[in-house]
Amino acid sequence: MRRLEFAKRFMPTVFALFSGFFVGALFLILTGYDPIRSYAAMLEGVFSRPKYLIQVISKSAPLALTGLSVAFAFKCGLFNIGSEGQYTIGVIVATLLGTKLSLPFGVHFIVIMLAGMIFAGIWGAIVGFLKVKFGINEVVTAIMLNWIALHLHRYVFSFPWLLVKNIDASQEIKETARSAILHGFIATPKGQTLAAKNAFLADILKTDLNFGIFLAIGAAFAIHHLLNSTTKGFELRAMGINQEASRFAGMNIKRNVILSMFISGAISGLAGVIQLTGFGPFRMTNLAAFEGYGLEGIYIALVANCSPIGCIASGLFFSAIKCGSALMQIEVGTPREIIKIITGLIIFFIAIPFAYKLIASKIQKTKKDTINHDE
Amino acid sequence: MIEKEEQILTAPEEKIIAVSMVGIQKSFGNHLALKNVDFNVMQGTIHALLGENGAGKSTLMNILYGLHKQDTGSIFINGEPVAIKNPKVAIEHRIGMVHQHFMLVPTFTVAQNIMLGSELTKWLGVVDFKRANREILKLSCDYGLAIDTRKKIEDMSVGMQQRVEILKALYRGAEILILDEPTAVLTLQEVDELMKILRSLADAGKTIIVITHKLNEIKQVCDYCTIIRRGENILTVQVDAYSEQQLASMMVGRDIALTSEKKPINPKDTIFEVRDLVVDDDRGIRKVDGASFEVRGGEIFGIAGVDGNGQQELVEAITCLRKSKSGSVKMHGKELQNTTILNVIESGIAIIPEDRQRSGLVMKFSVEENMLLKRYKNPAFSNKGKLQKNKISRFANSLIEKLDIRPPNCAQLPVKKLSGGNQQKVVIAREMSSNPDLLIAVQPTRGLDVGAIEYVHKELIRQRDSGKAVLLISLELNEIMGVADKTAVIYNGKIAKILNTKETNEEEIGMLMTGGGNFACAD
Amino acid sequence: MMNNMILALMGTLMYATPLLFAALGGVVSELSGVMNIGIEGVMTFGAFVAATVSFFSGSSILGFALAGVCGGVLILLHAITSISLRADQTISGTAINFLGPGISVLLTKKLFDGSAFSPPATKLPSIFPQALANRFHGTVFEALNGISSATLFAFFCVFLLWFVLYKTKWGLRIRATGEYPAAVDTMGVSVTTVRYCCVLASGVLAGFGGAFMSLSVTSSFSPVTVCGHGFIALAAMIFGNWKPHGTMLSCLLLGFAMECTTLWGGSNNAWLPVPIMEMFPYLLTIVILILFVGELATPKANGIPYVKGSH
Repeated sequence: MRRLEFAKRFMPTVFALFSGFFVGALFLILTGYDPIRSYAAMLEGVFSRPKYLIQVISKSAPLALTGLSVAFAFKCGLFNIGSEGQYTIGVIVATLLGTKLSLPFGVHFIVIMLAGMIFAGIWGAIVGFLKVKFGINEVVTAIMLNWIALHLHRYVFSFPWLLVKNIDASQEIKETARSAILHGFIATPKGQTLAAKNAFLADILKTDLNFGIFLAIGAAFAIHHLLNSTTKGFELRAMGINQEASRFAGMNIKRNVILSMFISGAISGLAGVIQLTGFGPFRMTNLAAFEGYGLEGIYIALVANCSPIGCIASGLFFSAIKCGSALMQIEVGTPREIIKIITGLIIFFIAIPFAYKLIASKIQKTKKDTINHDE
Repeated sequence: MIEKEEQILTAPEEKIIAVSMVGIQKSFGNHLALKNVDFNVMQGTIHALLGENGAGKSTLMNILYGLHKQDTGSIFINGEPVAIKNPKVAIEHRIGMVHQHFMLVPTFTVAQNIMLGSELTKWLGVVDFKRANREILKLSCDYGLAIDTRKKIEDMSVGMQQRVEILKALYRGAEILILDEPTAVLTLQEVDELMKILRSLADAGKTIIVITHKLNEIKQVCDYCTIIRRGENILTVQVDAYSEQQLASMMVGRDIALTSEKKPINPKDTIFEVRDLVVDDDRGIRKVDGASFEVRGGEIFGIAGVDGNGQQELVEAITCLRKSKSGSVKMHGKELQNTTILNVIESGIAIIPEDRQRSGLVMKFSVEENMLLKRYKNPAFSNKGKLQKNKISRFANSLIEKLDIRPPNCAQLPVKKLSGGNQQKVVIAREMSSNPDLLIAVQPTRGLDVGAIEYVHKELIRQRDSGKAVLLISLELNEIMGVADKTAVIYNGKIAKILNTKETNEEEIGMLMTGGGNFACAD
Repeated sequence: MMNNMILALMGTLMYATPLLFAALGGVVSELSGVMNIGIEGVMTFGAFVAATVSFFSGSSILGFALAGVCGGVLILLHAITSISLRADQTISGTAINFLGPGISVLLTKKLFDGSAFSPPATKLPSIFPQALANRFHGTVFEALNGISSATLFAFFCVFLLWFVLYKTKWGLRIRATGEYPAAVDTMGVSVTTVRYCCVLASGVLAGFGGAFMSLSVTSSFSPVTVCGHGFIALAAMIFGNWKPHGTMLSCLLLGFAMECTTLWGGSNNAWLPVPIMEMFPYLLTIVILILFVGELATPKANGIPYVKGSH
């Protein structure tokens, strides 16, 4: 019985993932690429070397966090398509404070993290405020704020005291501000000797391993706890399903909408902070378009069925196909855009739960009909 | 009981059977909505389809109009077998339907609504509004249904909207007209008006089927009546031959007590007081216009009235979900007006809202969570913002047991899996658990079956007998007459009169509900 | 001065045209009750199709037309999921926003040896034939020759759409479907058919919008060609109050805002940093929404799948 419930919950997701890859393969065949070799290269790009695997895990942190941000908003009945902008704000804050502030190791990162989360949270809360105060749909304002954040990013980037002209990037953030664990270690004498002794370790020492993944797991459990075990979480979940009934029960909907957009924004901001402080080259680069972490949060949340803990798994999964696709493009020559297509397909398949019910009822009906026939 | 033979309706020779539905069966999922139902209607008559909520009346008519498809059974129109697979086919067979929720686009004009789907066009699909207006006007004159074709639906009264619906059917040449609960939202005058219209349409040779559960209307205007109970048709009778009481007991399948058993009233001090309350709706139209009344402990205070006379705004203003313009709302002498709903709840008021699925329950939440909905901050259930799961589940289980909510052990079940009656029990359990001094019940029995209705009424009376106050707002006059100790009649946002329920009768209240009686003279 | 004004006008028209196509697409779709957030993805796909087809065939008009057709094909997926399968329309639209760019860039790489950029495409023809244009040489009209024929077509679409929506029986049915689908259904008109037609039309229009971007604005296709114009078009639709003529005005306003950015951003004595000016259209959108959102006539059934027998 329990097993059945379990299967029921995960079947649509598994089915969507499988169908996404399957239709993606058809698409590859149509366009003249070899799907089997492509997918195999993708797998190779994840599992063939410990370096790859650690890279997948490290890079899953920002993805899992933007996913968590969107999932949390979904649980509160809001669609946070503005995760991208909030992430960008996190990046901007991390760059400014990382380069200009002087604080001891550890403290520096914590200050950056909190500031990034607060500013990104405010960026998100604006969306909530405009929604409750003026009744503007959160999707529209969030998209506009994404673009405003992108241009803000470019504006900050143009500051002469931040910009390093000849490489078209900002200054590096200080060592004290970084969340990377291994970065630079391989360059030290100690690291060199260790790497020389052991090829396996040498491989790992080259990765961007950082605290990001631990922070992401921590955040996921914190959100899980907030939603399921606290009175505030009870309010937010009730609001997410039925605003009218929540209002009737005496809850302050307006405040809760702003609060949940703040929290959601703060989580996206954390993703931005980790991206900048945890991965080389530790500087802000000029952006022509969005990096896409925020938009990716949407499908990560959907695949996770909006469960906070599920976002970690979902983030790992998508980090894997992202990392794997890099090797695929190099080795097989299949463009990495195929993962965008696969993702789009997966979202489609997840969006149509009614279709599953329809199929299930049809199967049941034919079964019934055949039984009737037998009689 | 009535003899079985009467089920077969024998047609007088000069009359044709316009509609004949034979052996209709229909199920939704596992629920069998119609079991082998036969239904015959003679041309030029008004035929009532009588049954309780959920008996299957509307389903049967939706099948006739092609909105649902029957699983088995056949339909004959004027003796010809027909397959009505969608409303288009129904319209082609000259069947028209006036739905309970009007199928009118509020932002469109009368003419646009009437034309929709069968537009008069000039060239290239360009709508010929002039000719359409002319034809509709002619049609409305022919049947004596005067109407302004250029007016927008959202600016019209409910009665006029219904007129548009009837014209819509006639415009498509309907010979068979189905009306689903046509009087549910009308004032008494509008009802009278409608009855006259229906009579004249029948005299003009149209066949009319009226879905209803209002016995007096059947007696007033219908020729025949088919009674449906739990998806089965019980029998078809000539209306003249039976009394309302007889029809009623056939409808529910047993003798019904129209009044609930009550101990004599034992009123205490005034608990709740509304003075000169004025409330506007979203469009700035005055909906409550200086209403005043007070509710004492140990009494059930009923507010009767036709829908749309300010009841909704009154409740919203009392619960602070809507700002009132002036006046006062006092609980235990403390002013509540224009504060917050939280303040209202904390002052000892509990509310059974009109639409339990929309306002009363979070349908995807478990029964337990729904019981917690208003009390999650109570120190008994939370400690420094953390929910105390053990205590909560003990509390929920005790309520489930006490109110006999079915199925047993449903604490963790999503509330949407419960039946309507049990859902309402969850609401009642939650609202009563805070031991309120005043219980406001708005249409508390809407959509419930007879057993559940009796249960709700008993709960209201129990609350009263324990010395607490009850404010009952209902559109069902029977409910008010049966349960309330005092009855206030609301008309046009004003309290027309407050009466002792025992000393009045349905006629007097009915008059007041439509602006008649003493009140109208002063107007 | 005169020349500057004409230049500004031309720029405004150029920026407004793709927005207008896409926003009109949004209007048709949402008036029938289907939310269409996937316009951005369809535009990207249209931009790709137009650029490649015009590169290979040498005909920009063929590219433009095929972009419309392909836009319709891509949006069909959204139509199926949101109308027949009753999916969440925001999520389904988001899926389109991944699929459209994904397919476009993948095929670009396939066709152009791994480059994500298409070669320069031929521009859409301008409104005057060459012979006529020569005669205008040296006059004020010469500048006007820069107006693309597609711009004219966009304005014709405004008129056409207005005519269909407010004068014909199909318009009556479309608007009723977005407002109260049950009323249409019970009168024997299929809600599904109406919605499919409208969503397909919106795909075609968005495809045109994308085609204009790659053919006449950026002159080639790249992953950033469309860069959010689909979303801005949705905003234009909203403060155009879901009306073709209102949408036209809001697109012109946004086009003007973009042109101002380009004009001032290009000059050296910019009184505001360029990135800040580039925020202007987006800020304007938010401000306009704050001011007018209360008076908007949002189609009531927008975004809600229709289930027979429900109200």
